[in-house]
Amino acid sequence: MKSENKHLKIALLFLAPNLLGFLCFTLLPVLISLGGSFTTWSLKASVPLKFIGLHNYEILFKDRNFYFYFFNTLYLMLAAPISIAGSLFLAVILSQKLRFQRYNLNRILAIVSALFSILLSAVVWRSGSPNAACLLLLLGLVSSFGMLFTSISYRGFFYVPHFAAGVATVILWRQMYNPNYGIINQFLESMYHWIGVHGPIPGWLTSTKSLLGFMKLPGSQSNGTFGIGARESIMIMSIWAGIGGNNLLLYLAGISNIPPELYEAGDIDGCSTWQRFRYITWPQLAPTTFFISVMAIIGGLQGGFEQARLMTEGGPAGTTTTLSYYIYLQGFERLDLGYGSAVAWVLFIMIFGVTLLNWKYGQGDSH
Amino acid sequence: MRNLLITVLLILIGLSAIAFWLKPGVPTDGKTRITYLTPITVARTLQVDTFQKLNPDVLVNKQSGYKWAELTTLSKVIIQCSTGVGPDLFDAEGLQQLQSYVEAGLASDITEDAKAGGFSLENMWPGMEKVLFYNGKQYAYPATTGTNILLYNKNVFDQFGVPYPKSGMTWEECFDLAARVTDTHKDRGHVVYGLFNVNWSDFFTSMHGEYFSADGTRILLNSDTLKKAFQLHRELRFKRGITPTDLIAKNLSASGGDINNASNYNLFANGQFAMYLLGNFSTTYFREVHEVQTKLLNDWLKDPKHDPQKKPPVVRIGSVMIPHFDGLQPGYRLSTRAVVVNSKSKNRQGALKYLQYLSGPTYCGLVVRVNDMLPPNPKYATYHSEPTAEDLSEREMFQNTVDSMKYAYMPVRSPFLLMAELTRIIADKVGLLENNPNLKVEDLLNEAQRAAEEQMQTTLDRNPDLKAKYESLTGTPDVFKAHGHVK
Repeated sequence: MKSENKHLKIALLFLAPNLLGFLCFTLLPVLISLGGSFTTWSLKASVPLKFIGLHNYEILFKDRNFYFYFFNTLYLMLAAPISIAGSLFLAVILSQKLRFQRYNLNRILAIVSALFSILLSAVVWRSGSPNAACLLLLLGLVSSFGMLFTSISYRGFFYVPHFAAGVATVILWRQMYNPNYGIINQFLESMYHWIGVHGPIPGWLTSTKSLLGFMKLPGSQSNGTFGIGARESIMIMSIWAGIGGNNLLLYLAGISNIPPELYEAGDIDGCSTWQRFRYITWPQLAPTTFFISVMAIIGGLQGGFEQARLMTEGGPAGTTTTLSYYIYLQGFERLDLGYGSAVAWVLFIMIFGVTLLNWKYGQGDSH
Repeated sequence: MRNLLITVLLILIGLSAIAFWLKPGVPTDGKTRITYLTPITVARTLQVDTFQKLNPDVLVNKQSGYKWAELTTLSKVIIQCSTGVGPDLFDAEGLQQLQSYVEAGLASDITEDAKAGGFSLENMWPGMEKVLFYNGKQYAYPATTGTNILLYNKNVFDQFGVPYPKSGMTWEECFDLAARVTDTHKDRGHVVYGLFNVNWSDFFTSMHGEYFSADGTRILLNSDTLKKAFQLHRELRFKRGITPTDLIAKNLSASGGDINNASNYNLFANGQFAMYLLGNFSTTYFREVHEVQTKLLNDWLKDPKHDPQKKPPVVRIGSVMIPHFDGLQPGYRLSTRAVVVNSKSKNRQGALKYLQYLSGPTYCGLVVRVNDMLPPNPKYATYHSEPTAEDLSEREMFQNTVDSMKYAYMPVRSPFLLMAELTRIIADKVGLLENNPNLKVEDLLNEAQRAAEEQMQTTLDRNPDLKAKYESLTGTPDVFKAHGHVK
């Protein structure tokens, strides 16, 4: 008993810094924001702090902007299933042995690939496209590494974007999307020039076009016409960032835990590749998929802040303002922290509700 | 394991102690240190360095304030200052930002200090009271001020054989000229737009438009003035085609003499915009462009095998005051980069010293010398420096800016709705209009009006004193009723 107490004290001692940090910098602000959402809490010096009950929430449910930004948030979340499917597809591929490894051809192929990419990039460089040459060289070296060190190196490469800070990635994509000198439009223009046609150059982050542009939307959500606009641009970026990220790691871990006997039994029964995936891999990965989906929904509802703050300032015409950015705007542009807190708590309740539903109805299937 | 964890803990404690020990202490040289959030440009560096020489007891640390006039910067400064890590001095845009800083209690009341230090109203341009004063108190002093003027590229007009724009012309005359120098079919190797950087707000101010009634109680977003301004904005881009849309402008690429990633200045200098509504602060950039272009021309001349068809252009700029509407007095937007003292600053005296410096002859002389808009003190707004390049007509630009100040004005701000909120509402509608010209201007502005009224009502509901004031002015605390809507 005495020993247990001693252990507890030591454990608490080690936990104390983290616990104190959590209490001071997470729990306390969260509780303050809950309290603040029932008040007139404002950064305006002239506004007295007053308890107003549910008034902030009443305004919120009548606030058209809130619904529009909620719609934006949900729209951006449509990227999540594509991203998850991509991660799964990639994980399945990367968990398999590369064919050439079976014949010990990897070293020869790696050398050939490296030499070929160096040669090709030198030719492209000489022809006046140093950027394309660098890209080709990089791709060649990546594939060489993959051949030399097996698919493990590919797994590493796909995870590389996650080593970069989110802000840096967002800024990188903002530059790529620049309609004037961004690499994407430059590439498109080159392609059109090469084919000899005058094709459309998307406005990317400057456009309010939407893939739902063919639908008649409410007046406050009037958004122009059908096409790829700022929201879709952000979704493309999210898919890119999501495919090779943590989801891929989780799926790889899940796949490695599938008992090989199941595949052996499948092989004996004469399963095709699709049947192996459909009847063994997919059901075995159900708990992982469930976890990833729940996290994606939570992340999606909370998401969009970095992109809105750094790429678009919430525009054009508010089409990339999500609820998390709206909270920020309420607090630090309209100076209304009380209302911002109310939005934050409604967002929390939504996330909590969706997660509960997921747990209630999702877990059965996953087992 | 336990020993390992204890060792780690001890190491962390040790490292913390070392960090604490290494932390720089309070300087003992007796100098005041102030931080100043401002865009770092050549002009600004020169201005701050000169202050430093004149006041060796105050050290100024410049913090780069990227995009100082934008709404995103507003929230950044508010967060910095509210959390006690803000700069001592920061730049603020006069119309939309200063009001928010004052409302947030971040702008220090400098009325008495300004009177004592000689940087109050009598040492400012007329009309600045509406920009820098709030509820009768002074909250900032300008670093620069002025209005835009209409710059034109003489090369383009000469190529098209069209006469140069004249001072005192109307908008219609300007549009006609622009149409004559617009060529969007790349016949000349690149497209040329007649007019650039002209948008709804220029027409709005030309018509002396107001966002609010004089007492600030009524929002006027669905006024005929704003409707006409929006319609013209659309017409120039989609019907007349003399001004590029935002997207097209971003898609244009410059060639030759390229600085700053083919910026709009370069597009103008290279002849892709014939006329450009811009402040004279752009001189700094055009000097650089001119220098590069001159060098390219000299290289071309020296090359014995040069292609006569590819003679590099060297920009020649002229300027006039912005056009006006027929039958109306000119009206221009008064632009101000105001410097604010953080109300939480611990170095207030040092910061005030900088404001005092801004009103003096040394600083104002520097502003004139680099053509960085106009100096804050009109007493020293005399051009007496030697222009760096005759092609740029710097003296003419300066004089046009001075002359334009007679017609400069600041729209009424309302205590019942932050200008920053209104700006975001309007910007959203402009974004929609530029992306879909088929939308009805009336519908957009009615939506904007409704959104602004809702925001105003929320503001009043927050602040009983403000609500009482609103009621005393309109007879009702209900914003919608005050605007004549029946529930």
